[in-house]
Amino acid sequence: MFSEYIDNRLGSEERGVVERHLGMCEACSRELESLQMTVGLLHQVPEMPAPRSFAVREVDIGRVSIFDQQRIRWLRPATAFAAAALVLLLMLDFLQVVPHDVVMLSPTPEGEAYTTEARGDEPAETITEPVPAPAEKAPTEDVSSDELGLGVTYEGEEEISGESAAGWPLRQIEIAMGALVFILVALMFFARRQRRRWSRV
Amino acid sequence: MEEQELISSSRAGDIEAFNLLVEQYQRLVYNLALRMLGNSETAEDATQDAFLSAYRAIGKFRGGSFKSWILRIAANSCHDKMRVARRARVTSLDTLLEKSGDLLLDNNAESPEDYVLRRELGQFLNEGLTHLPEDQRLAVVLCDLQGLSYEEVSQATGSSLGTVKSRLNRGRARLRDFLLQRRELLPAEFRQDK
Repeated sequence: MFSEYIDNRLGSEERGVVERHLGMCEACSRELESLQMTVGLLHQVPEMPAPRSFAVREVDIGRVSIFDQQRIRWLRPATAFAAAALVLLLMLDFLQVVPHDVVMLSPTPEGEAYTTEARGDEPAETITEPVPAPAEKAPTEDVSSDELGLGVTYEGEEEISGESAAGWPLRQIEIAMGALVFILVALMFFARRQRRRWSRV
Repeated sequence: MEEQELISSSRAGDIEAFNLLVEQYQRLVYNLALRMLGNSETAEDATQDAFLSAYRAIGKFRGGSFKSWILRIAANSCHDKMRVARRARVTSLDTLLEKSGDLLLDNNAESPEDYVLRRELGQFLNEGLTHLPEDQRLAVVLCDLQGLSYEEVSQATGSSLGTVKSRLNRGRARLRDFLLQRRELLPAEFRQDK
């Protein structure tokens, strides 16, 4: 009530009540005087000039603008889409809708290798196909592109290609999609923290 | 250009228009930061951060008092600085009160005696302000040092009018108690028996 009295925020009726009370109560009068003294001292503090210009520069904005809401508005839908795709992939994997039992490995110096995935009671198996010696090469004729050396296939390669076409590297796709979802979620978390820090209003 | 036009241009990404607003409000924001933080360097940092945040958030400004809006951002910026200082525990009270006497000096020529008195009073008041809880200090600084109305303080702090009155009452009373404990340092006209 005293603050409002000091700041002239009371109506004439309330002001009258306060003044009548002050006339009778010495403790309240002293309280009011001391508060008026405090406010009086505070009013003596002059406003300081700004020591420099605080104009905003392009370079300062660029410093954190990668987290600008407009710029990262794609992040949330992209994360949702990637997460949905991952769930779909996992479901396809679980239900075994897509054949994916053959997983290609990189060729070894000795020959081509691929691994069959462990399934049920059957253990995983690595098969190495020997690469035929250059002398034993038996190119399959591809008449139209023979001169260019295109369409020339070899026995071992043909077999592996056939296996590869039959299966999808689903596991690798799942891992890649999982990593993508993780990165997007981490980015969203970081961007949110940055926005809170810089744009708290 | 009118303030509303400057705000509209700023929202459209016109940095020059925004800097005209900065020019208009930088003294107010800097003084708030200075009184809240008690240190000129930290106050400069807080002021710059406040204007950067304001530029990034100007799209969210939905009209009303720009002054209250910018002061609210500045108060948040000061809060961040205080939190960092508390966490790092590198800012001692002495550092916070560095050059605090200068806070009261203006450019008007005054006698050496007045200078000393005002310097002491400046240190004294600044120390008193740093003894207040942050919310009470903000209310006192905005109302008694920056001359905002209760309604403007309410908007700038995002608090109800009742909360503002209560914080102001408690802040003034607490500062009064601090000053009266050191009444020998007060100017003669303010030395009185409680």
